[in-house]
Amino acid sequence: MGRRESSEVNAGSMADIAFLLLIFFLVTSEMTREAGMFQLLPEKTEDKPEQNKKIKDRNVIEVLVNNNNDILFENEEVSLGEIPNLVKEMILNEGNNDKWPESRAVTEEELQKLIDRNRVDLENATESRIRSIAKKLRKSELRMQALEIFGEYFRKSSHVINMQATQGASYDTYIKLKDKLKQAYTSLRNDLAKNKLQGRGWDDLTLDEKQMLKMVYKENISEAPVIQ
Amino acid sequence: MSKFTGKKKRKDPGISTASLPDIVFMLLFFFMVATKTRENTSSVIVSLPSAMETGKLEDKTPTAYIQLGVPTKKLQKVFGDKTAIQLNDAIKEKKDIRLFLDEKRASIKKNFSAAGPEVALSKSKQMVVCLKIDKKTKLGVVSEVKEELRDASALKVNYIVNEGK
Repeated sequence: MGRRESSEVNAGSMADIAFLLLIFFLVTSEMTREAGMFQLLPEKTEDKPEQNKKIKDRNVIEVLVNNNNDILFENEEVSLGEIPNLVKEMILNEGNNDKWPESRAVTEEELQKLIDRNRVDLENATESRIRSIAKKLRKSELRMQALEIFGEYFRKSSHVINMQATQGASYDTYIKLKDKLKQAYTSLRNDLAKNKLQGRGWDDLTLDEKQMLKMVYKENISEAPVIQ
Repeated sequence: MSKFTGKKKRKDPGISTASLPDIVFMLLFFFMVATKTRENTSSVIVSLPSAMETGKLEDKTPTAYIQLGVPTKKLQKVFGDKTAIQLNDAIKEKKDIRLFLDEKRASIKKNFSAAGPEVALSKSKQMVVCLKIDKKTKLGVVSEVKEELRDASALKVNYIVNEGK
């Protein structure tokens, strides 16, 4: 009997198998992460809405979408394109208009106090809370840094943008409006970066710088339930 | 001398395909790692609105998807042509949202149970509800869903939109 040479396994079809798998994964998967707009809903409380009355009228910027998808900004009809500039003006309130939201300069003392308080907390913290307090301290220190860089631009604004809508308004308009409101903040932050951070664009900033800009112009949009 | 004069006809060697599987496997692994599998099939038609000021969630953020839109042609016979709510794969009622979120939270907890109960709990609290809502939806319906989310204390909401004008 002749000795048979062991024949090798034909690997030619391996590519076919791999291609099949590849195509399967291509079809069943999605590549891009979805873009979205984040919103934190208010917690449900037992208290009556009267509690919210604590916010002064001048600090609330009212924006409403009605059933015809018209936009009312402080009870006046405006077009979408006008929104960012209107909001910017009101948040900055450079003329100290007493009908527009209050804003006051942030002082070094109050930030120092905050940092000191965080440091004391950190020393007395239990194991499980240490990380969250350390984070808070880091934030307070960043605030101080922001004050050094931005100086008088770092103001504490008490504004709240209250987004309202009637029942028949379309979601499309609502999102477009929200987009425009957010644009106001973005443009404020960009202006400041141009002024104080060597004119760099948002993408060229470091994480810390971005966070500082967000501290200076803190987004405060609340979504109210629809009006019947 | 005959060494050089031999008139052997050379055969065309052809390109070896032996490394083809390797290349394809490499592609395969790339796609397996870089993508995630599609979550579910659609029972409602959703055409997303578009916006410029968008952000992206971090990769490992636990999410729950709720879709709002008009049912697909086939399902309209059963569910009508009013805006419907889709949870997982099926069209459900508004009151089912709470149960759905509880189930999601429980499954997130289970996924992270190996990292200890504290991590699991905090992960389940980090859950973001992604809302895919059709453009033409009336805000009355959206608001009802949002109230339902507040009742279930799922407060982190992400409105999914298309990026761009």
